[in-house]
Amino acid sequence: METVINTIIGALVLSSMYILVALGFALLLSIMGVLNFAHGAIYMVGGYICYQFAVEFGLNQWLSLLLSTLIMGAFGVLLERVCFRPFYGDMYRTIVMTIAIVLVLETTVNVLVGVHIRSLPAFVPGIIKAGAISLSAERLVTFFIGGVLLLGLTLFIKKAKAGQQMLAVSQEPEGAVLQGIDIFRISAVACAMGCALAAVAGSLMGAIFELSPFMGDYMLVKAIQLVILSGIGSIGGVLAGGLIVGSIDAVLPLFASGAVTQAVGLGIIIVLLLIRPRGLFGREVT
Amino acid sequence: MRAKKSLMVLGIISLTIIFGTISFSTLVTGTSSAAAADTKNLDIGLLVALSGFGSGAETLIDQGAKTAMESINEAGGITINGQPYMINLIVEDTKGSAEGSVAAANKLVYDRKVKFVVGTVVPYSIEAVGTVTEPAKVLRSSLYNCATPSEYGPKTPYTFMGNDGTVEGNTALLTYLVEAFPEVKTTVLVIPDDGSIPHLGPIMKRAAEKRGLKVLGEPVSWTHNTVDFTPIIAKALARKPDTLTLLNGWPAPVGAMLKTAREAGFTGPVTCGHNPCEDILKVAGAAASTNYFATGIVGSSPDMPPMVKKITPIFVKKFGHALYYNYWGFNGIYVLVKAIEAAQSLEPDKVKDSWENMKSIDSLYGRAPMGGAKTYGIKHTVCHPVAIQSLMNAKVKHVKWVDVLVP
Repeated sequence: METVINTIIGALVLSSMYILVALGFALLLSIMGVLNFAHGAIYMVGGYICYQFAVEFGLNQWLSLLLSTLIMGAFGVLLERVCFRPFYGDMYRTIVMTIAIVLVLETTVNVLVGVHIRSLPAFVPGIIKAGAISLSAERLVTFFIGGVLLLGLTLFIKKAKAGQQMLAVSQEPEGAVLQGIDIFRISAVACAMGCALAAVAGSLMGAIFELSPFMGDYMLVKAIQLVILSGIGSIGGVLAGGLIVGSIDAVLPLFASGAVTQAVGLGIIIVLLLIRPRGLFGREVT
Repeated sequence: MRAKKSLMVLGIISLTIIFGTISFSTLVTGTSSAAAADTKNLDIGLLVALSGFGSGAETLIDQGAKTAMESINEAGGITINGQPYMINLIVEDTKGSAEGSVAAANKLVYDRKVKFVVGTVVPYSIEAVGTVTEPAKVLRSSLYNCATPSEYGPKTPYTFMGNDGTVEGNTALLTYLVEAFPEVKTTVLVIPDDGSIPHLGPIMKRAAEKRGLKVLGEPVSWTHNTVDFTPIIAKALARKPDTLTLLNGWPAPVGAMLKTAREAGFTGPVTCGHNPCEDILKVAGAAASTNYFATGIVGSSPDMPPMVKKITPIFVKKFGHALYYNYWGFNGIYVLVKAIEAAQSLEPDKVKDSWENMKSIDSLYGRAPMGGAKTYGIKHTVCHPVAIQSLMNAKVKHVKWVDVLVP
């Protein structure tokens, strides 16, 4: 029972983090057509900024999380204006640009703070015990924050004017422009939101696990897996895809060992894609 | 006609400059060669991951190795057949990958023509480096091994183990564990899925059972890119062990496993060789950092050998810390230099023959017998004493030295 509950919590925490990271990635892909390979590096930088404020400068950890989110959000605006806008519509050049950003960010962190081990202190330390079952408070809070953010983002896209405009741009950019939507402003908002979400995920994961200049590489692969599984262009599908990938990663190691779990996990995704080549919720790309 | 004359003058001037420069540089080189005749350089290659997987620890190894070079050189270098040599360390980044390791080894062996190499740490990297150094007959002092024959064994005759590997370090930990916790009777082995499990698993199972510890089930394995260790630890704890024996892995995953085990309510001792307590504390956090035991030096402890006492303040002065992997890097170079000095030769073949016939060798940690013939099929292991440290209530402490002679 203990194992089952811990595994369920683990699956939910992992899923919410994957979703937070992948949503930013999916937003940029849907709205701007940018395959942002720098997304994992942005996730990593978000974690390090939070660490600098919380540990090096001694600020309150929640305040550090907020500052990290705001800084990375502003960085997202800058990224859109300087790195993506000049190459709007040219996927190959933006890919090269995002790879360059990865190198710059990873190397900068590597040189400035080094590769020595760091971990953010727990946002909520302690263990919650219920009979024989013990759960990490930190993981529960992380899942809760992830859930609240996802709910907020879904409401934003469904209810807010800017969210509706994002949806319009992602579905039919030319039509959106004809309706008077400022596509660059919407792209900047999407980029800011994507980077901010990645920063939140990086900071929370940096507390549960550890920080390293290369921690984003794995998350980027997961984000790509998840977006492909969900279906390119489907922001809502990322939620379902995240739950599937997170659950696979959290549950499979219980039954299989080592590298086999990864092979089986990818195998499941491949089978799902064979059944639905456009992804679970993908639309036809013309 | 005038143009022809001008061209001739220009040609003569150019030739004068060229030959003048050549003669001058020859003179300069000749002078410096003459000046350098007294002391020569002995190039030793160091292969470490300065970027990518494992670079967190291996940059510390780099610091330790450079300190060893400076320390040896400050003491006058080494003398081979009356000729003094200064150690010249040539560092190459393996980038934490197998292909990076091969590229780095190729650079050292074929571009820089080194005959002696120190490194690496991770199994796939050790194996990759061996594909370059062994055919080239370059003598290698490996910093680690996980007991896979492709890393270290009869097929790698030019590889020596300068530092304690998985077997030596964890055998020392098991020896300490059964002494300190007589109530502990069962364990689960947790090993990364890096190809070592079929070799390491049985060796460590025998080592545990020899000490009265029952190993429950097959090893639980994990991959290097595991993010969440909850299912791995849940699987191990479902067998209800008294202790967890974590074999290998860097501080990041090991710290994460300790944290996960404590979050799951496990309070028994957890051991892991070569993953020092100060690093584990940073990853696992203070709340989870208790009842953990590792191999590693606590430089501030009075129970340290003279060499460790001597270099600890040097590390602190230079880097602001004296961490376990610093000592690792230092010892890797130190042992190799001692072997070269003992052989009184710069020929890898002669050093190899001399080293494998030595009964013991000086290490940073004291005199170390040579062993490994039965366990690895090759008597190339420097079996130095192993320091055990504990992490209790977020406090790191040296607890004991354990002698390990691997048969």
